[in-house]
Amino acid sequence: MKPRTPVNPSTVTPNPPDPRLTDVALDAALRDDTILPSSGFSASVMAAVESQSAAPAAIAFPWKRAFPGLVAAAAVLILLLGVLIAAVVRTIHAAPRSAVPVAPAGISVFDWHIGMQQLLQGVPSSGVFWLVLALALSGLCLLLCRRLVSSS
Amino acid sequence: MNADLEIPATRTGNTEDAAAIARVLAGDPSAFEAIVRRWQTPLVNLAWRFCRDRGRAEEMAQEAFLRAFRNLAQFRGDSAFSTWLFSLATNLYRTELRRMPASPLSLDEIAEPTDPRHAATAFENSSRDESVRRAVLALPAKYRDAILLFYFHEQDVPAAARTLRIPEGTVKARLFRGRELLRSKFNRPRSSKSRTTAQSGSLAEQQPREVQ
Repeated sequence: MKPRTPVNPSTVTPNPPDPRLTDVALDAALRDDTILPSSGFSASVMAAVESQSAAPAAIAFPWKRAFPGLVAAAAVLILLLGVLIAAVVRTIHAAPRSAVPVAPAGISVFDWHIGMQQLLQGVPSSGVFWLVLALALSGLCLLLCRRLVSSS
Repeated sequence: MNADLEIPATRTGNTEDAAAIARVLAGDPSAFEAIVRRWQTPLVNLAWRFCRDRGRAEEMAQEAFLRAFRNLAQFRGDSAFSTWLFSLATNLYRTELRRMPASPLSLDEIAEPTDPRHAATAFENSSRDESVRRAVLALPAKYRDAILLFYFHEQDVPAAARTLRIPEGTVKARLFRGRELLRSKFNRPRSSKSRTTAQSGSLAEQQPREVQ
């Protein structure tokens, strides 16, 4: 039997690795991927938590104090809506049927123009009404703002 | 995740978390430190997998803890605290990545397969592993998230599905497609270098068929 020649380990060529990305290689690459937080991380987080808990809470909207103002605003809006509806109804009843042509396809821009003209005829033409309304609303807003600021 | 790292989660139960949460909700913010210490490693690691930047990962994890602190009252205990915390953190990390993506990877930057005529060294292997991890970040978000959460949860599909709040079947389909995309990019022939150079764009630009 022919004696085997000793093999020099330094001359052995290792099996070349599989260059393809196998499932095992993919699993290993994605599974073993960890870091440790730096030593001051938890302290940093707790400092942020403490500062956040020490900060004053957000100022809530003063619903109780604003309630009367909101009710007044709602009442004014309802009143205005009522006046508007009454004016529209009065205008429709007062207008002769022939003055409001009805197009087959519905209300046209021309119809709206005529309707608005008739509607404005029901409102005092001097503008005093609008002036008083605007002043009242401005005053109401001013009062509400002053009340909210002074009470907070 | 390595076994030697701190992985409290479901192994230690939720009693310690529940006690800490109760104290925080009772007005003792310092009790939150127990939660931070218990979960800092997983949360930083999850963020690290999403951005591969240590500094940014810690910033994102800190923001996740702060958000958890702010919203602690919303945790009703229907699920494990870990599930709630990881869902919150994952949503935050995904939002952060949409706002400021991790460094995009083009096809040219993906490592070529090692030449078999040269013995592979540990460095080469680790370089390829890093290329694989960065390639995952270049996948479309739905595949990226499924892969990241799957491996983060120690290859647990149900846990990944709970964190992502999607069905397990969807997670499996996205895992399959994501891995297929990665394999197709890494296993292309070496001779395609010139073609690769001609191609531009990231993996994210190559949308595979939607699998639900």
